[in-house]
Amino acid sequence: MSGRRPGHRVVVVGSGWAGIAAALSACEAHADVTLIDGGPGASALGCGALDDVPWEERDRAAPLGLALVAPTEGPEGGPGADLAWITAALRGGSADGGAAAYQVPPTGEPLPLLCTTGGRVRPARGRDVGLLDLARLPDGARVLVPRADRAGWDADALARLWSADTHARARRLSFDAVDADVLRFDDERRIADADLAARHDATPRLGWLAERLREVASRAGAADAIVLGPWLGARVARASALAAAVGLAAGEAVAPLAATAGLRFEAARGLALGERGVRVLHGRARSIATHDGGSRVVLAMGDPIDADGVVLAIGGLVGGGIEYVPSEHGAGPEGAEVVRPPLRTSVTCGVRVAFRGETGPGSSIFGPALDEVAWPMGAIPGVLEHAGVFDTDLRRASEPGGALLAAGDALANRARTVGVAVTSGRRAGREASGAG
Amino acid sequence: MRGFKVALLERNDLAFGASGNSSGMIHGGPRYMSGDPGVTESSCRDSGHIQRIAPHLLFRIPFIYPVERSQRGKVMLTLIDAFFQAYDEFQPLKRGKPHARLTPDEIRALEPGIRGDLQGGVSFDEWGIDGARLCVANAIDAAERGAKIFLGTTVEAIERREDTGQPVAVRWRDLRNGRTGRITTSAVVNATGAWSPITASLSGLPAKRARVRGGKGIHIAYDRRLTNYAVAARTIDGREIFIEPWQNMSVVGTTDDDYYGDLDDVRATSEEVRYLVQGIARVFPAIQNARAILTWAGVRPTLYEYGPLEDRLSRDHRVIDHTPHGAPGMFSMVGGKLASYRLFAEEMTDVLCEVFGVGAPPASHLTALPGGDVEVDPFAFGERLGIDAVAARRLVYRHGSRAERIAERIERRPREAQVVCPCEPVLEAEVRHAVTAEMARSVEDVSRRTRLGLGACGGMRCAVRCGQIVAEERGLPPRFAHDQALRFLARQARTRVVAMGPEQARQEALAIAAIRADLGAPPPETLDQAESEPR
Repeated sequence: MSGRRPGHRVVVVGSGWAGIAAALSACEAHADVTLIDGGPGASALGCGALDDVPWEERDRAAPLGLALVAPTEGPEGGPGADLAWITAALRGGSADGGAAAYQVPPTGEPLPLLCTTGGRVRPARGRDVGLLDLARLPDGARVLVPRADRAGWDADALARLWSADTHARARRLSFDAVDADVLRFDDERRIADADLAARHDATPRLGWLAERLREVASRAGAADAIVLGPWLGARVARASALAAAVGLAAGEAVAPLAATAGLRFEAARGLALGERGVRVLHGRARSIATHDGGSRVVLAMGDPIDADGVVLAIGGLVGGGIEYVPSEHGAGPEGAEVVRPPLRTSVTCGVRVAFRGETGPGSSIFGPALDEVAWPMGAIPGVLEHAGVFDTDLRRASEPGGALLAAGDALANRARTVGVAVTSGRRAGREASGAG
Repeated sequence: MRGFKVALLERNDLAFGASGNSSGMIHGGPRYMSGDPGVTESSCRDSGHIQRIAPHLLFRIPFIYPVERSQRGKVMLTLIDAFFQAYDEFQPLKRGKPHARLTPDEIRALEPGIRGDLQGGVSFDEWGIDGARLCVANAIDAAERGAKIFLGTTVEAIERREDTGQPVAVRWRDLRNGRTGRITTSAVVNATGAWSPITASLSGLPAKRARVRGGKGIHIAYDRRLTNYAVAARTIDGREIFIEPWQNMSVVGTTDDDYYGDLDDVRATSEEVRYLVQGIARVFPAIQNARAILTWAGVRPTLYEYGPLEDRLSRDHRVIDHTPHGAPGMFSMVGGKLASYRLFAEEMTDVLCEVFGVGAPPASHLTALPGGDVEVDPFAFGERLGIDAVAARRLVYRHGSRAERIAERIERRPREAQVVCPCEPVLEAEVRHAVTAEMARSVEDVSRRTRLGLGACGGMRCAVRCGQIVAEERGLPPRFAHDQALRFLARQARTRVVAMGPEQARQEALAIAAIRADLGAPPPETLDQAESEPR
């Protein structure tokens, strides 16, 4: 790993938060970067809230009722600094270049407070700017929740739940469900959140919505903000444009699996990678062979790619980078034909997969008894969340030479947060370019 | 119904144990015919009665019994044919069709998924029922006739007179809020299934006076109807198992193993699932790529006998009068099966009537259960309320004529027509009805009554909403909604993962991620029985 050569070739497998962090940091190290995009994973299904630690941990650790502020980063930076670094590169994915797609408060500033469609108010380290940040509203603010005839959006119940939440009560926020006409066409009672969000990409339609919300606001009396479902823009967050038109703060609630925030992530990612000249291949990597001085990445379709450094940012079970295939799956009438470890990487590259620190072949031909270990139990993570590439020194995942690095959810025993993905991706990208 | 003042105490919830976790078949059990023909007959007869009093809860399960080609295959088939010839005698009792002998080609034409080298087979006819709904209907009926029903309430002690040994009172404790109380009584019926010896002990009787041999049975449910017919198969050790279309799913069952564990936390294990799937895959290999969405498990309170294999135990039932044990007025009900539950209860009441010299003649075989009196056309019902035809059909299935009460709710407040659980589907009005009229107190209770959250999404789309509704109806703070939902989701996940395939592992991981984003991590104490009423 002596100094980098010009034209140092880095291949990043995976296009989630860890993958783009690796690609961007390799670009900063002047490497020639190819990114393999195998389709949507955990990042593209993300909710737009950026965490560095699981938020409920932060919630539990915080003194009740006190405002949460961005923590001080250590001398070597930290997840907060890494999140700020990557979000600075991500702008709203519109043709005109747009404004920042994410906001990460610097040390000492209040952390975003977001309301979720599950009815909670929760802190985050950063946020998609389309999400309504309650921390930016004055204490005692009144937030309107327009009623809409859509599954998963019961404004009355949500208003009640949010108003009763500890964070909301500490800041005396109140939420009121109000009658509104926010759906324009009948099919909008049923279409997916992301499809409804895409309709608000069009400026005339957003104008129509602003008009409706102005009516709502004038009927409802004094209010400080309006919160809607994840419906405000699929390519660019339209919340600020809407807020400006209505004259009130406006934004979305956090919705898991709504895909809206994920679509905006993909748009912003495309713009950032394009600007830096990263070559993006759509397809799946099948195997990686490492040898002294280089690696070869074989794709499911297309020619193999040679590289000097490879970053494995293939995701965990959600992203499909780690697979669970028990031996009895697809077995013949006589039982399993071949006995293999049930948890393995989707890309063959000779690295070990582990969960809870355990590696190597188990002693059950069918794999772990998942009834006890699959799901998290409070603070104890489950196998499905924590299985990944076993990586003792936190950086290197493979043979001597260090040409292969792992990052993000593909790593075992790490919290599955955006912050962790970006930090590990940034470091892996730097190392893969020989600038470690 | 027959002149007694009754209180029902249930430690967990209606249909929490074996009744709600059975295969839902009300059959004579051709399996029992050789050793226990009396059981087959009484079960068939009572199945006929159940069909009359709860017609809305029924569905037909036609069976195919394929026979593999082997040296003795031909003889086997002839024997089986003759066997079902005998079973045909009982079929009219339960409105069943006679069996038919099938060639291998006929079997494959009826059920193209069946593989293997076949000698032939037979078809026969059974009926299925929703065991949980049946329990709820019985409880509601009892309540409407004056019975007092205490759910989530355990018996702490049964007080008896020191001189005569007769029961005088039952001391109880509500497990969710810790309240205690005492009910005076002159007779106690211990109908606690696998819990029977425990309950007997609470009255000071030795546990062996009401002992049962608990046999654990598990079922695996798949996300759709994989077959049109139920298909019988054999496990590696020669036990008979089946895959049956059940409501809108397919169900594979079952095991029968002596159980020594905690009765409040009976779960299927990965090993049991593998054992069943292996057996089904031999005749129906597509099962290996099917999507299992949940498993359930229960413990049969089989009549005690030391020695025989589980499968060989009698399925008969018995009323134990504890007078010879020095406790006149104490009775235990042990053994039995779903198909003869009504008969068993009737026999018990007959004994009580005789002892106390009171009582009208039995009528439970003629009197319809709530909802079973008038047939409702689901399509007209759906159209009238402007709700989806599938939702209407399922609603009418579960509630029969009582669906009208849910309709009244919707007519008063049209917003309650909103779908809460899209998989089943379940409407908001039905969830509210389950809380106000069917004694549901938690998301899990609602799920047991409506099948909410038991579909392909595992409750991801409805648990929180359901928790909100339950909290609202019970006047509890919103925090209760989250706790309930998380508890339900974690518990459901634990029943699913034992049957999980490759693609599902991804979705399961996604489910965890989504819950983390939305509600925070699942609670550490997922099986906390004594969930206190929230702050």
